[in-house]
Amino acid sequence: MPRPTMRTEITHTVNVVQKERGFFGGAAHQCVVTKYIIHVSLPSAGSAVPLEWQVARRYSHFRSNHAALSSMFNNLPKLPPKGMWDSKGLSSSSAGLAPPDPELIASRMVLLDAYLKQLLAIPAISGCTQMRTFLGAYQGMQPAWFEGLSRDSLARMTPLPDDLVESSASPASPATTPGAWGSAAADGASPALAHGHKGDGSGHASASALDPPPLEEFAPGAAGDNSAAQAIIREMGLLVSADAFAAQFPKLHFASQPDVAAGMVQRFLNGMEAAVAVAHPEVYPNGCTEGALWWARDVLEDRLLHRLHDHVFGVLAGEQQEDTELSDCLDALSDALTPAQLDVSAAFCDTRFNRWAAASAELRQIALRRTPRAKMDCVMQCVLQLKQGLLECLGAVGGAGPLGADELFPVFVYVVLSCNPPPLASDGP
Amino acid sequence: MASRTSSYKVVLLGEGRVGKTSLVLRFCRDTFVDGQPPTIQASCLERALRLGDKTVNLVIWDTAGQERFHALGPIYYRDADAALLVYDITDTDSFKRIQVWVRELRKMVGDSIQLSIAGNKSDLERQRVVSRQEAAEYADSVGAHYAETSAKQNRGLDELFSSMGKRLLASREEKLGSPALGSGPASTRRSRGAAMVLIDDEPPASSSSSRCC
Repeated sequence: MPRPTMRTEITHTVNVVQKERGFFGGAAHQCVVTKYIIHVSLPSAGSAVPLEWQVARRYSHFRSNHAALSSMFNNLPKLPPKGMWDSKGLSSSSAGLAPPDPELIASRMVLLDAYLKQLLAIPAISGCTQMRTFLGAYQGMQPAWFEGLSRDSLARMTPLPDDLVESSASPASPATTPGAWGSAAADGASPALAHGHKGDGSGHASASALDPPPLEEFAPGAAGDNSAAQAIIREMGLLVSADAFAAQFPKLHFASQPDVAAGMVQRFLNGMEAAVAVAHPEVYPNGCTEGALWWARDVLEDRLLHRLHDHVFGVLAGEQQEDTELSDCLDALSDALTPAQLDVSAAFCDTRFNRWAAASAELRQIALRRTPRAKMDCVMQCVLQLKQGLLECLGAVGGAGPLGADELFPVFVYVVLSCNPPPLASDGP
Repeated sequence: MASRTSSYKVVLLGEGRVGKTSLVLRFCRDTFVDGQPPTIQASCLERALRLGDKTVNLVIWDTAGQERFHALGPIYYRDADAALLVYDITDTDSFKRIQVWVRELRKMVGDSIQLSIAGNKSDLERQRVVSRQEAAEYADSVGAHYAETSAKQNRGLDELFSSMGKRLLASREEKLGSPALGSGPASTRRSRGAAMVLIDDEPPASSSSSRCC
């Protein structure tokens, strides 16, 4: 299978007002800068997952990337010069906030687009870490999500309160290899990778409900397909990245801005997925299959959400009260509730066969599960018990006819209402 | 362009006992349960359909037909690509019920959902109370495809579903072709992850960092 190669297209530019640090420690001033929005995609090559994102880069980023590539490769395509733009740019920044000349920007955009395409046509370059970093392939894993982001860039994506953006002024670490950041951040998080490397049995003994399961425990039956993804996750320290992200997460104050926080998680996961998809050839020469990619995403998502659970579930204003009220309502209701009221046919009420108790027990597990997937799994197990129960009930009375939503759904609703699993409101959709 | 499998969510709506579940079981599993205890349960089944050089995957969601669960309908149809409304040709109430569904669907999700109407149990011709003409005219008036089916005798199902598949393909192609949505590869289907990510932070500094503009 061919490895996916990145394709780029500079789709448009944006002019933003940005605070610039003065030269040699001079006073900061505002100026208009132009950012080129590069659409990056990993086209679906056979079974690979189509993946795409956008990255905003300034001319100066192109230049430093070009300089870095020049030190590694010969015969690079020529970087379009800044040319006469320099004088204009200089005068506009000294004048304050005059926007750059749109025609010049437009022609620059076309030239830069062609330049990028020429670069990526060279396999050694499109595969190198420097180029991929420039195109944002690993960006999702960097602490810059929290610390290096400028107020401006955050403000345009999502409104964010001041205290968050101001919290740290330290520049993003020079993470040219994602693993470097992963291990650097490890001291702040729990030693997650230990799960992957050690072979003694002590890990299981000490494992509590609070520890995410080790990598090997995911989808044990499909290990062959997923060994590549597993190797990539290990090699790149992605579990450590996830843990470090989770450690930073409380800074986002989920309860006060759930959408922003959810957006951050989404972007982080997308970044990790991109990192797996473009993983280094030396780790796994043939790339990842689609199945392995999904698997990797699931593992990383579970890992992250497991750690975020306490910061996310039941923390919204009024959520706990809603839970209590709903639960009280159902308690009151359960005394009067009968299956017949919900159109549950009498044939399904035979407690010898209907498995309602087992289904309720499965559903109650939901409070103990810490990831959405695991919670969903409880619901699935509950439904499977009910389906089996329906079949056995029908068998017992020699019943006939199809078994579909008409039959199953009333039973499911009855079991949910009478079982009253906590906390229904905050665990619900 | 190479053939690509498109997946569509189809929601089955209609009164209890009109044969929704039988219909989907017949179409997806080619079985009909009559007079013996069922061995297959169906609440969500899928089947791939070959249409010319394209393959369409229909994921069909069964719903509870009882009136008291009507309010839960939106959970199922909100993100559906197509709705299959089933009534029983021997039951006028069930035909009236699908008209309620049609009104609700048009109001809640507008034209973004393809409608098909199936008059099921066409094997019970002698007990028919809803005429073919009345149903066809009604379907026409609301922009729905109409077919009479018999899950028991396996009649009319292939035509019903392949027509649905063709119309789903056509509407997707229409959407992809329109310039408003951007061109080509950017709009490839992505089943997970939300809107496209914009990465807008400084690239990690390389060794030769010249900071200006």
